[in-house]
Amino acid sequence: MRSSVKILNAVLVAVCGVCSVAAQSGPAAEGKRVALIIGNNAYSMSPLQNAVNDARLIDKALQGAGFTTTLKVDATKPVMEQSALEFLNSIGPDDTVLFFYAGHGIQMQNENFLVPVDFEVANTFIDAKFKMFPMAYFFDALKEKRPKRSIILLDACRTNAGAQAHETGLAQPQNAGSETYIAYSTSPGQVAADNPSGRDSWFTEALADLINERDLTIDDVFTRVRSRVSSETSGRQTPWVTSSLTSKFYFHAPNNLKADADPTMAEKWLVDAQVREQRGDWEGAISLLHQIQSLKPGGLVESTANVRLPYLEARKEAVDRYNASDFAAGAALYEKALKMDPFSMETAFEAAYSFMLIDRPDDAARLLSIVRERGTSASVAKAEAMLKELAPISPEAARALTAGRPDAPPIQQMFTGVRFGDPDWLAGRRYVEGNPMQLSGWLKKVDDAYAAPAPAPAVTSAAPAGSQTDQGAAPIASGATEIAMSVFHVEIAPVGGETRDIGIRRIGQPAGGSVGFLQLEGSGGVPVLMNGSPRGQIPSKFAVPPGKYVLRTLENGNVIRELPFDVADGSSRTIHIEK
Amino acid sequence: MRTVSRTILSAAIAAGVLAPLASAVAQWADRGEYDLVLMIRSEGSPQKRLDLIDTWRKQYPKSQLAESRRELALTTYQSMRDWPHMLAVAREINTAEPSNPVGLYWCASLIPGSSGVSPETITLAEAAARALLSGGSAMFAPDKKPAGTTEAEWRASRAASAVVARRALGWAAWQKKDLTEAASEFTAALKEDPKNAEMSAWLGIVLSLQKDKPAQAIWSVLRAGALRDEGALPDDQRLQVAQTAERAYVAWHGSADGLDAVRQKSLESALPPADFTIETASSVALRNLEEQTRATNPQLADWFHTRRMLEDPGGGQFFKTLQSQPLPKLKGIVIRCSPETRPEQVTLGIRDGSTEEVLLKFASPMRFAADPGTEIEFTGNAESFHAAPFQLVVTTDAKNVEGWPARPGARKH
Repeated sequence: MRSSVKILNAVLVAVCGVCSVAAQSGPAAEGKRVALIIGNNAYSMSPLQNAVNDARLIDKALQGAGFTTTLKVDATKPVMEQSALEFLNSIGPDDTVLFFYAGHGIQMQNENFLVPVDFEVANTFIDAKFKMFPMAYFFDALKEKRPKRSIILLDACRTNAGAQAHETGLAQPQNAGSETYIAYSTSPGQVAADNPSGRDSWFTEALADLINERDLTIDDVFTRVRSRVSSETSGRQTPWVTSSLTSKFYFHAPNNLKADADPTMAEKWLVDAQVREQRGDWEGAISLLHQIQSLKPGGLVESTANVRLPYLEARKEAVDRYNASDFAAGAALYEKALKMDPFSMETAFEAAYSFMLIDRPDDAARLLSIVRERGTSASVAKAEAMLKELAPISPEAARALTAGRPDAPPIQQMFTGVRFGDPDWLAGRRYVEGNPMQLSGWLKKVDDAYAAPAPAPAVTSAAPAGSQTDQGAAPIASGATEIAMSVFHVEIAPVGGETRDIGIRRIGQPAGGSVGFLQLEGSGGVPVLMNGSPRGQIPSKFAVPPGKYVLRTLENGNVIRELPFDVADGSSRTIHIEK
Repeated sequence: MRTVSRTILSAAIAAGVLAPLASAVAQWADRGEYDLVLMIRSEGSPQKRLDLIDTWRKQYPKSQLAESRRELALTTYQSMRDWPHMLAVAREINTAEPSNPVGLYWCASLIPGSSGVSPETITLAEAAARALLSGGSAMFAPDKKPAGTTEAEWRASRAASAVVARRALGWAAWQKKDLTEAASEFTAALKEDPKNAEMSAWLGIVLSLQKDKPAQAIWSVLRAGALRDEGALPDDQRLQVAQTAERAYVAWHGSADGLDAVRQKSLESALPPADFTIETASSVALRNLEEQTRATNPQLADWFHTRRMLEDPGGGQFFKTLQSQPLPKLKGIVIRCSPETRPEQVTLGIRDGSTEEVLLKFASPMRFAADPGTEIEFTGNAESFHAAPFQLVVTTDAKNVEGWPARPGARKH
């Protein structure tokens, strides 16, 4: 028995080593949903009608979607800053955070700014920047907080203002972090309509409706928002989205939502489970294997997880029983685990130790013999040393020592997760699903393929042969869409009107009956869109109300040039457009 | 230490001489090699595992287990999701053992979409894919089915292998600008795996580039952007594809009318019904024009109908009907005469004087030219037509033309 006691000391050291590991980290949790909502109407310069209504509408929709919201209306710069600070301080690493803003917005020198209601006329960019709320700071702070995902919704025009109007309208955020979804109420080069005849903006009205719908991912929500807004505004306003989210997000998740992840994560989880197993973090390893089972990746990964799970559960239970001094149960469970993984030498030793503690040296010797067959040279030496100590009291140990050492088993028996010469046939599909080929360039070609000059006639030209009509006399929505899809086209819009672009305002309204002329010359055949309606092709001459206008040339949907210009009463302005 | 190289064995298997690879048992060089591999087995950290595999390679460069070593390296890179290194190892396997399904499968899976595409990698992907398809019966023979794998799972594995191969073949054809072949392979892949959104997207793209099946192309891209859950594209790409599909539909149809219905329909099957079409924007506009002018100008309404039918995908059939009898009398506006003196043909607009629609060919040259804007009436026979840009070629002679100037400079407004 002295030998047994001596070995017992070694067992206790070994077991303490195992039990000291207590890693508890499981799969990432879903944290809280928090939202900051700001709606600004009360500008001294150019007040809006609907931004506050929009904010309230979204506030209600988000509350219904489980968000804890903070609503600020008609916020001054200090209020915007303070509420942003408090909001950022409330964010945790597992949280989904949402920021919604309705009001005036502006882009200057490639940066986006939100305009507080106390904004006053600024003489310089620097001056203006100090008086506004910079989105860049907000993005930086969000990046530091690293929430699980960030959703930024801006119902504000981002067309550039005033003196720097030659810059294109959209400043794509350069510093938005990962796991960020950004949606703008309008596309590059467009202004967001305030919907003067309605209570809410087109964008927010659609958004709030769709947030309330169950089973829609955020992408689905915005696909539908885009469709609705574009339709409501006859193509003049198309919401625009950029996303770096790597997982689906639902405002109202389906009732039967299953685990959702990149399918190639299954392989990673399998390895992570092994790392946790190596550390003795049985719960963590088991949890990861459960995640794999939930994902149902199929193939070798899933079957390996299925095979490994009972082993880990037996190991965990064995440790628990051992720690509860139930060595007999512990020994049985270790042996059970060893049958499931005959190459786990640690399990074999633990089983042997447990049998020794309950005075069953022959059983211990039997397990040490397994180590002699399958263990590394070091573990074989250790097993042989233990067998020598057991030999005086165990005939089994003596027999094992006199028997020759068996050959090492073939490699094919050693790896449960690999079938040599036989790929995991479903892994390729997981790879493809998780790593699709980049299609941006090809999708552009699809756009090009369908954006070829449309042969469709304008509906309003429905006049009998011989009676020529002014095809630009009436705005036609479908024609506008065709032109908007044209590879290269020109758009002219009055500056100001019912938009959320604070920087661009028509100065005064034309007096009744006043008119000026605009002559477009240059590349013949280039389609022209005037205030959202098709107006024929270059060369053309238009009669327009006096005022400030902006002319944009667009190629493949991108604004490539903006030119602000004035038309005075009775004057004629000629602009050359070249492709 | 008896062993037979896997390459020789594979050749023997292919020739039907031997049963599959299970009979090949490579031997350990010594217990030290076994120790190393057991350490690799126990190592949880992929990077440390790779280090140990490298040690194994250096200490046992001539190991009989080199094939297994490469596969262990491959699965380790796979667990790290390090696709470039995984592809490099797959290529090593393919070089050392050209018929090893592991190398074939991963070369076919990983090369499409990888960086650094070259004629050599295209050829490799293509060869690997063809070997997967031709070797399918041997690879998926009943005796190869691993224990614990059900028949259904085994069939699914074979289908997955075929999809990987078709995908690679289609991709290779696409790279070689053989869009017809690419579309054919992607269609074959979709027959094996109808919910494969990537294949729908690729098929839609190549059909769009081909330009001759626009409705089918839009169907495929719409479906790729609409498929959810199993086989769906990752959300960001799905959104991108969905937006492209919407734009394509609107550009083709002229509006988003009917888009949701087509999208919903596309979810029902990977390929559209044989008679599936989407009305073009031009056709929609012409139909509207026809409706608007029917009461006030039936002659013009008839023309809109004729043009719409000709622009339809089945326009060829309609044209045969049109050819079988003289055209009804039409009113047109002269856009230009060719040549300018004693013209042999005149280009006309029917709706207005700016849109070229009809090329009127005279049996013999007209004595004088007509100024642009001159309004004439004519009958004749349809000779040919071109759908986009639209042009109907009509033959006639002077006696069937009214309103043509009788002397130079005479104009009719």
